[in-house]
Amino acid sequence: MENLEFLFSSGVSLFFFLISLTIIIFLSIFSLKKMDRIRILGKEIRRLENSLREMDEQAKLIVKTDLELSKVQEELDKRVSGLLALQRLSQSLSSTLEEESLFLAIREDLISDLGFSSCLIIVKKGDSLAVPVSIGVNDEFKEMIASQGGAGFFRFLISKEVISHKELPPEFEYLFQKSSFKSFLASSIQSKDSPLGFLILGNIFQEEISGGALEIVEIFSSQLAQSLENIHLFEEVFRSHRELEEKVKERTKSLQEALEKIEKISRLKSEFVSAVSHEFRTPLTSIKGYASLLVQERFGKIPPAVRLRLERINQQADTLVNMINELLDIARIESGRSKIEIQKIDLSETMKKIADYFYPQLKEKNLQLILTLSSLFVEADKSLLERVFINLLSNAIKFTPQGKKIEIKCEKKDNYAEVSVRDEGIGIPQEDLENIFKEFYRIDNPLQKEVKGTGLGLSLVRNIIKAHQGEIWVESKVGEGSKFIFTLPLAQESKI
Amino acid sequence: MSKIEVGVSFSENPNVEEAVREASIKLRAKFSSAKIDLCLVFFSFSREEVKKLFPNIKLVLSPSLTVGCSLPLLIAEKRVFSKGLILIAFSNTRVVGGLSPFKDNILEDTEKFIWRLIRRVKGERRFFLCLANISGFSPDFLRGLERGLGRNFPLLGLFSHKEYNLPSFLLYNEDVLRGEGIAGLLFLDDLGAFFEINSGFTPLGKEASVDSFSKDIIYRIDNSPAVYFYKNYFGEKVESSGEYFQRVSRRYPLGFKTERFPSYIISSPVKLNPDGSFKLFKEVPSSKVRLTIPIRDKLINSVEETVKKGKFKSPKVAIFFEGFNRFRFLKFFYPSQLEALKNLLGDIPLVGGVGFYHLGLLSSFDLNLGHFIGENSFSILILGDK
Repeated sequence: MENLEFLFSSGVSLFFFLISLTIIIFLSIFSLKKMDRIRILGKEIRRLENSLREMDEQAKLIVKTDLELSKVQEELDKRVSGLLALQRLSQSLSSTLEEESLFLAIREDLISDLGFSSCLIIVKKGDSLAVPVSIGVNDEFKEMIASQGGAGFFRFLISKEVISHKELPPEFEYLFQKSSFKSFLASSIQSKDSPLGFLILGNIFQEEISGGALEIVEIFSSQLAQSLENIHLFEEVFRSHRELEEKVKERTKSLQEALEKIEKISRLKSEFVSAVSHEFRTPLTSIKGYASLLVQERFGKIPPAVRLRLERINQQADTLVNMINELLDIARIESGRSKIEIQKIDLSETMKKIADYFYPQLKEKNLQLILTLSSLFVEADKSLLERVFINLLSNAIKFTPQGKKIEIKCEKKDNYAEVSVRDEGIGIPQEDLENIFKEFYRIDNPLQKEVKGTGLGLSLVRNIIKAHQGEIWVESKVGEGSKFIFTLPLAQESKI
Repeated sequence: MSKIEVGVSFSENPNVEEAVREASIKLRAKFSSAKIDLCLVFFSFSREEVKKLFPNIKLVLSPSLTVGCSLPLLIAEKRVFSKGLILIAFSNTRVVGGLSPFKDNILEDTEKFIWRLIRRVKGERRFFLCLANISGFSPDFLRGLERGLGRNFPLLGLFSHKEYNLPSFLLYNEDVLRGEGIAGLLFLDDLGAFFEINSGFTPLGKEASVDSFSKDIIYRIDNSPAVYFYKNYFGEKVESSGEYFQRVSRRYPLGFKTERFPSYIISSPVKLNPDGSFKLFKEVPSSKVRLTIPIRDKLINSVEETVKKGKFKSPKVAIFFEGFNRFRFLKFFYPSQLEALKNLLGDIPLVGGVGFYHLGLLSSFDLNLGHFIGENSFSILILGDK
């Protein structure tokens, strides 16, 4: 029994031992698994921590790079701002041709956008220096730089491009002591021909000059030089233009005065001629009168030789009277005192009438007169127009040899009547054509000299035609004949 | 339900008289003989010049209410300009407004101002637009608004702070021009408003934990003095040079993760204290913080993403305010942002300005996000029919 109990209790103990062992084994396996998981999780966490650390390191790198980039960006922004400001400045500078406006266009905000706090522009004015632009600069410095010392600095700058405060020679340091600049750039303003001045762009806040600033100052000084040169050129051109205008005005005035003198002389001449002609007429009338009476033997019989001479006196007196009358007519027409009575006149009828009048002379010289006439109406003074025809036909008959032809034509040309008188006479040399209508002009030709005349007939014809708004000219060839052509405006209804 | 009418005009003329004439006449032509209930004016003229501005607006437009403020830069459509004015006129709109100075206590003065406006109101209040220039603790200002309007009341505002050397800020209402105070407009009835404040800064690096802070001061981050956070990224110089610290902290502000708002709340330290702590502009938003970095494309995208969210039946005007810091970062690429914004808005007129700080509810989508102050941010407000 005791053995059974012992066995039983041993069995139970073993059983419980086995159970416990199993449980322990299970727990160990479970723990091991959990430990694995924990280990895995631990690894994961460590991995995440490393990732975060890496991410953080990357973030630091990104931030560092971004900071560097932002510095570069800031520099770039400054440059872009500066260039934009330069563009605006350039537009302002090139939009004016006055020196004062040019310098007024350089404003504080533009200088600030260029990246500077101060600007001083000094220009040469004869032997001294003037300061047309002073922005953010104290008066003491301004006075110093515009003095003799500034002139020396100017000469120094001419040989350089752009210098910074670091390149300032010691002998000029005193000039900038009063300036309160922490940094500056200075450049001469040079045109193609000569130095015009210099400019200083300073900064009272920053000690360092950016690389872009140098370029900006170079461009600025170059633009300024260009604009100043343009202004000077414009002023020169404007001055020359003004001088030329003055000269032209003076010359025009002199010409005007000369013309007035000529007109006065011409007027006086006409008045003189008129006055003298009137004076001549009276005694001539007496001469003619008495000659006529003597020829008519009112005072007794006269011998034939005396009669002949008296008749000659009469003829010459007639010639003189005609000359005086023509002179008077010319003088009257020229001076505008001639009373022109305008009426509508049939040209062809007038011509036919005058042709009839000259029938005896034509028959005497066996001359053929051909009339080619159109019925055209002009507005003219009847007696003056008749005089034209008389003078032209009379000349044609005088200068045409026996048995030849004279042709008178009248036709419509646009709004004008064109009348031509053509003869087959001795003709007129080319060199005399332009003078033929002048008063007293006679052609230097023995054949011309044989024919008598006053030398006023064509002058009178020209004056009459001109007074009727017409034109007259001549075409001629020596030995073949001449053609006198004149035009007159047609009367209203005859126009197109 | 009558529809509100909104008209916008602007002028870039640097001569104040000519500018106001141009803008007012354009606006009057749009409204014809309709009564103008409110004329909101953003301008960039000096105090002296402004004296000629408002009488002329009244003469041409005769608005029932005129409120305005100065901004250093104005935005109109795709343009940014430094001299000129913008007029936004509302018709068929019920609105009350006013201007009040700050005397002793910003919180109480603000609360009283709001109460005075509310007392004049009959009808449901919809939205509050606020313009202010304050000195003192800015969260007190926000608290004053909350107490006056009620928690989570839709509001958006622009404000300047006297302590931080910003350009001078002028406020105008009914012939009164102030350099300091609050001007506010309480819109009533059926006005629809979409608004959001965001920044677009990108978080970078591992998240750190703010161990110790009080109000607007952070003392310790990750068991070290707060300045070590920046030292970790930028080196010893941040601790030794206040100027360098400011430069760096402005460009790389802190981003605070909150459970409520999907984006990081951005805040720049404004001052480094000798003990290594730094002062923020506003109260510390949360204990989880990362460094943030401005990436140009992301700054622009954040504006696009924000505007895309706004779905409206009949939007009438978009008013956009940009923070100085963001404007400085984008600089020559700022026109790209306006271009992107305008492309999304289409015909809706876009106006606003580059100003100072923004305040209000973060977003119109979740009013429980609470009120917020942002300095490296932009804010957009789109108004129209409900």
